[in-house]
Amino acid sequence: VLGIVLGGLAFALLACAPDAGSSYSWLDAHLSLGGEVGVLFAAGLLIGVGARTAGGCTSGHGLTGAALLSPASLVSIMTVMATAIGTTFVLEAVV
Amino acid sequence: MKLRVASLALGAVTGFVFAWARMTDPNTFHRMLSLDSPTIYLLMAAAVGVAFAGARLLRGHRALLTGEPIGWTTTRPTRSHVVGSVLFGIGWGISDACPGPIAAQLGAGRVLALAVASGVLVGVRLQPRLVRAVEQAATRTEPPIPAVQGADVL
Repeated sequence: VLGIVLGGLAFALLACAPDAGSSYSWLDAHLSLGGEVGVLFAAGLLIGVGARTAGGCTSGHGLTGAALLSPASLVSIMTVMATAIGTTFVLEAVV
Repeated sequence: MKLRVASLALGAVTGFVFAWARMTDPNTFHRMLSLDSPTIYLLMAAAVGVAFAGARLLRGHRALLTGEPIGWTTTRPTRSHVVGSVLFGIGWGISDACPGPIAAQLGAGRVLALAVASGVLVGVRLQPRLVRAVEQAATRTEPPIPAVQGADVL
């Protein structure tokens, strides 16, 4: 994990384009900074609990597991994709 | 030690590629999940293709650093895979980020990624307690949702 942080840093330095600042995503325009921190923390909670319950995340199930044709991983990544796409469309409709 | 250095180096390459593919920008995932851009889907397909071929080429050989034989077993899907994946998908849809890219975002200096990252860490810590709470609340007819043992969270 530390390596990934360093890699992101290395690219940001090389590309001379750090993503610093309080901008995050398209949600910026719809939320106060404090509200956005809260929403993102809650989203992080869901990711953490979900990943541990399912035994993997997008890379674990979606890349590694799918490449090994693990049935559990294929079911997991399909569920993740469908839920994430559904959430995105609901959010866009509501916000 | 050698293994740690190798892990760090591989992680750095991964983070570099994440940032290069603009996966440190949540808007990239938003365009993916709102079905506006196929880029990340193509990226994932390419990665799965390479891993599919690579894993099969390496099967039966010994790992370079640890000397362990390379192989794997697959698991059948259980209810916990589905329940966990639904929670994960909702979190991903809201934050437009998942664990690997979150780490790369932190390195790239995206301050608000700290909020998501701390959420993930707390969630991973909290999960066993939540499972116990769900088990206690569940009726005897409903089986509990155990975590998949020995699985990597990333």
